[in-house]
Amino acid sequence: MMTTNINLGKKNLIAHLLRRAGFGCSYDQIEQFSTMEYDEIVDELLNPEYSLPEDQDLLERYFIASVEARTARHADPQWTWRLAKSKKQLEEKIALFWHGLLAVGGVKLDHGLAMLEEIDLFRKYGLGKFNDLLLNISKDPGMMYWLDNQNSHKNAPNENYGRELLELFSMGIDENGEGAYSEEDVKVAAKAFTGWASKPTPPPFLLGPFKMEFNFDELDHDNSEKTFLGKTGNFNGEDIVEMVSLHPSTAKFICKRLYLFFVSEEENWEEINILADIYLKNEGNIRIVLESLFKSDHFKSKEIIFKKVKSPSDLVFGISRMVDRFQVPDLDSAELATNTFLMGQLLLNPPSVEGWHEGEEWIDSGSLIERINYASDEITNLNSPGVKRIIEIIYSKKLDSNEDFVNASLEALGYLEISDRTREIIKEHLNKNNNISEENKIIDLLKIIVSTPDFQYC
Amino acid sequence: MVTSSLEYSHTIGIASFEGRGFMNPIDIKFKNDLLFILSRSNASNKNNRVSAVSVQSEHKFEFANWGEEDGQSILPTSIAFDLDNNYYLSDEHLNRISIFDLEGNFIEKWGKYGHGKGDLNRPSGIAINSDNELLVVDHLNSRIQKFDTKGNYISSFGEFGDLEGQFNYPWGLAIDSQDNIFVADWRNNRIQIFNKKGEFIKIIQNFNNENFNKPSSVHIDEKGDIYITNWGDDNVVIYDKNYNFSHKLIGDATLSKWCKEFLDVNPEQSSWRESAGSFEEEKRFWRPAGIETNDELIFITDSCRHRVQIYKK
Repeated sequence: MMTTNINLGKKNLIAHLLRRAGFGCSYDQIEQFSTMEYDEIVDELLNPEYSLPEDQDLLERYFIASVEARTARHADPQWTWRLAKSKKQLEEKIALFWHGLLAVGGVKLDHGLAMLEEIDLFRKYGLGKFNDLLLNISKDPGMMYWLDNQNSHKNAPNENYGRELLELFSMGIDENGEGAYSEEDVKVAAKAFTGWASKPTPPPFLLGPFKMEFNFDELDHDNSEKTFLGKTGNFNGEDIVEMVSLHPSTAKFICKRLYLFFVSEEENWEEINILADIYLKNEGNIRIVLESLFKSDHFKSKEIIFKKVKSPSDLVFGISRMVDRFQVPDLDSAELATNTFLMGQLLLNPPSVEGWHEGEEWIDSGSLIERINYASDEITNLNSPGVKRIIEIIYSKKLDSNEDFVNASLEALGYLEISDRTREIIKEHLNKNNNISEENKIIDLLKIIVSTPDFQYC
Repeated sequence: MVTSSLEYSHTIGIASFEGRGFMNPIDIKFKNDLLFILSRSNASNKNNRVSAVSVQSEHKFEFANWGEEDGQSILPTSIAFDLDNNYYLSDEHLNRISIFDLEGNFIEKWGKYGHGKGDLNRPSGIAINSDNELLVVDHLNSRIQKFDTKGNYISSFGEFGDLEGQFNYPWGLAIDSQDNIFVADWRNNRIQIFNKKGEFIKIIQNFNNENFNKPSSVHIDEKGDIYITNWGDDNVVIYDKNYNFSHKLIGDATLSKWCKEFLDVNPEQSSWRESAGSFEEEKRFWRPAGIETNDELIFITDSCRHRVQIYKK
């Protein structure tokens, strides 16, 4: 059992929560949250009221091509803006989680409107019961197209969706490639989903894209009696979804993925099993599972804090929020997906139906340079109101030594932590450069902090 | 269902990243028997341009393509002609006005980012008055600024808010024969009308028991009739010169000449379209943005369908 970090201050814990349940925030936002209890903040994050963002109209005005997004790339300005700006951080973070698990890739679907609708589906259902989410994604026209269900017919079922539903979306398989279901269950699931497809839409080459819609063709649906997971009946896709959603294997699989995404890259089955029990006792309610996760001592322990490699999205949108980079949508905000892409994460286009491989795999020599360059550029951009504010906060602190200076800077950057070794190296650097002007010294230090290996963790 | 009551004429356009066709056309002007159509495009494809096209769908030439150099643009928003037949283009990203001759040759540019007199912060709608002065919707500064054709500041009016004379992300602009100024006060969901001095005259905010939803542009024809693209609700609203509501258009597009030619040589696309059968949806406006008239016709840029729908007056 991990131990709670009893010495960790409240603001450090709030900052940790917001980095994991969202993309992080500024010093001032942490100050504002600190008037609330930790558990109250968790509750607020877990209960966003679904709505269009206030600036949706501006996005549509400035990036009119994203209104009729023909490709995933045309859709970028819409989602990246919300990732960088939405006050409902967990709503976007959970959408990103499901986008990586119930993965649909723009490389094949190539329909930006459908991709945006899927992300919105994750916002709407991502914190609710998994059964509802899985049913809705199974009726999502983009998903049906992505996994070839339009080619699955009564007399010739295509097994692709049935297989991925069991293997990658719900019950999962072990390291030996074995699942709690049989090959026959895959075939039966495929039959149950026959007739589920997307309606044909006109070609986009004349007038741009048309909205995709789900279509159920009863004449093309296999209505025969089926045996699935040991039960027999005239099952359709809805029945399959209901049976797998509350299966113990699904509870473990989904809770493992939630744990790996929100807590740690190293599987801790003691903790995952606790979450899986909560999942089963609460009919697969993701909100209740996450509440338990975020409020647990384990989540707040030293072994977890600053031990997870930031995904490209964590890094890019985290810095955007830290420095309050964007006030109104502009070309830079529209290109944020390019920044995450250069670090290995092309949003709205996961590399395969398995989504992205997280953790240390995010970082190689190329992506590390991109990460450091991006972070350095942003933290030294004095046009960002947040950078000026960070400098102001550091100035306001009592700075009697370089140790004070480093501590004040880490706090101003959102209660960051660095290792003792990194701290010594930074202080050594500061000692050699005592003669530079005060503002330049601060900017120099900020640049060094975001260039450290420590900054790659959240 | 509401249907258009003006006689539909025809449609020009096809989605095209370059050359013949448009990419998110958002403004339009008619001059010397040619339509000048401004394609906004998007941040990644960089295919913005002005296309000169005949009413009969002949593509003549294009200019003001992507870039920051003289004669180029990044996020163009509006176009206007002065009394000397020079062509003006506003650019929200570069915060400048570029000037071209009728053949699209670059003449000069002016404007810089800022909040002081004469500075610009995302210039959107532009129009010329009878004194050959250029009025610019300086939209993030929530004001209308007046310049001479060399870019020398003359005057301005407006501030942020929702009272008379205040603006909230205004977009389009038109000037009538009396030099009255009509502003599409976009986020306030209304059209505001001012006299030549910038003094408030009137607000139009509803029609036929409906309210406007993010009107993007306004146009006044030679008779004084008022045309408004009701961008947020995908329709076009027309009033007579006495502000009496006369028509609401929802889109009646047929396949353009260019679309027909495309389908003729791509039969698989044609059968794909036939099998989808979305013919009613194909007709309707999707974010109508710019509007223009000549003596006989009304031209509407249907920005998310990459075309211009044309009606008879």
